[in-house]
Amino acid sequence: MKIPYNEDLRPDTGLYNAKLGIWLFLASEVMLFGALFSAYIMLRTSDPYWFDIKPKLNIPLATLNTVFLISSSVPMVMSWVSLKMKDLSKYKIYLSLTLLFSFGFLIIKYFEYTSKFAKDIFPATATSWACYFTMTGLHVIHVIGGVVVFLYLLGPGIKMWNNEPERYTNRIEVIGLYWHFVDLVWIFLFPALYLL
Amino acid sequence: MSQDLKHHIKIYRNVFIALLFLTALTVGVTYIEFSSFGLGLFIGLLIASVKGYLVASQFMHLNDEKPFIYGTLIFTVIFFVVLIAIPIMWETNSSDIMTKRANPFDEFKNPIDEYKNAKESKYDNYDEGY
Repeated sequence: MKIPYNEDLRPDTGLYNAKLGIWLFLASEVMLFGALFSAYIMLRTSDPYWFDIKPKLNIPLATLNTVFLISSSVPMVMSWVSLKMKDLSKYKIYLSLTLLFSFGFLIIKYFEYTSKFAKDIFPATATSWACYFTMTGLHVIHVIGGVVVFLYLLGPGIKMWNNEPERYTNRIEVIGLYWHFVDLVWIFLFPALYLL
Repeated sequence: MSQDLKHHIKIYRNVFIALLFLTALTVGVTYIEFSSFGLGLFIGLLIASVKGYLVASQFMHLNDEKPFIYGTLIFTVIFFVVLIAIPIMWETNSSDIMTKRANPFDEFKNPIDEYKNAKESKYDNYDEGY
């Protein structure tokens, strides 16, 4: 049995189902990160003894991480464009590039976290550190989630291209929307935690 | 279709360059001494918002999407604004408690300064509970 509206657009929404699904998911994600930002503003502005973690953070590394995430978004969208142009080999190159940049992000994050742990800095050290680890930690989990999906789509998932190319292209568009959202969250996390 | 995609590729490249420039700008403005913390905060978040707009409008294609998605996202925007407004309103309401002012037009009294003054002038063993 074929699941309806995986490729065709639903007449009532004008969208295929997965696209509507990912936007509803992203809407819930906005509220999840929004709640954390809200809590962060409240904790930071109401605490007269707020411990400033900025001098202890590695801003050049975090800036490099920002560049990595932004750079990963371009090949992500280009991989979708390649599939729209029926060019599978270019698609593989672009998605591999996205994967490479996301691994770069994770490696830098690993060094950032381990350097903090080596200095006995943990979430319980101060409220500001708790905010830092919670918000960046949740973001890193999202990056790992994206990497897992990329690996699947480049590995066993690519078989779908032979039988249902339109559906496979839609899958790339959906993971692309998720990945750009992860990029978007970092764009706000970076100044909020590292620079302000 | 192909021409349309090629046009989009150009836009993606320009957005990428703009995002890199704005990232450099975000880091750069932190080295500037602004007259107030609020101004620095405002400029930092303004640049982040422009970057966010570029990603959402171009990479996520929100500048050219179906009305159903806009209809869904408008609720997200409203609830997000409420979420962020809560701590700001809370801070405004509680500021008089934090600064121990009987009314907002009284002279500002910082609780930390009050503690230091009391420690220096009134009591020799203030920390120990005198």
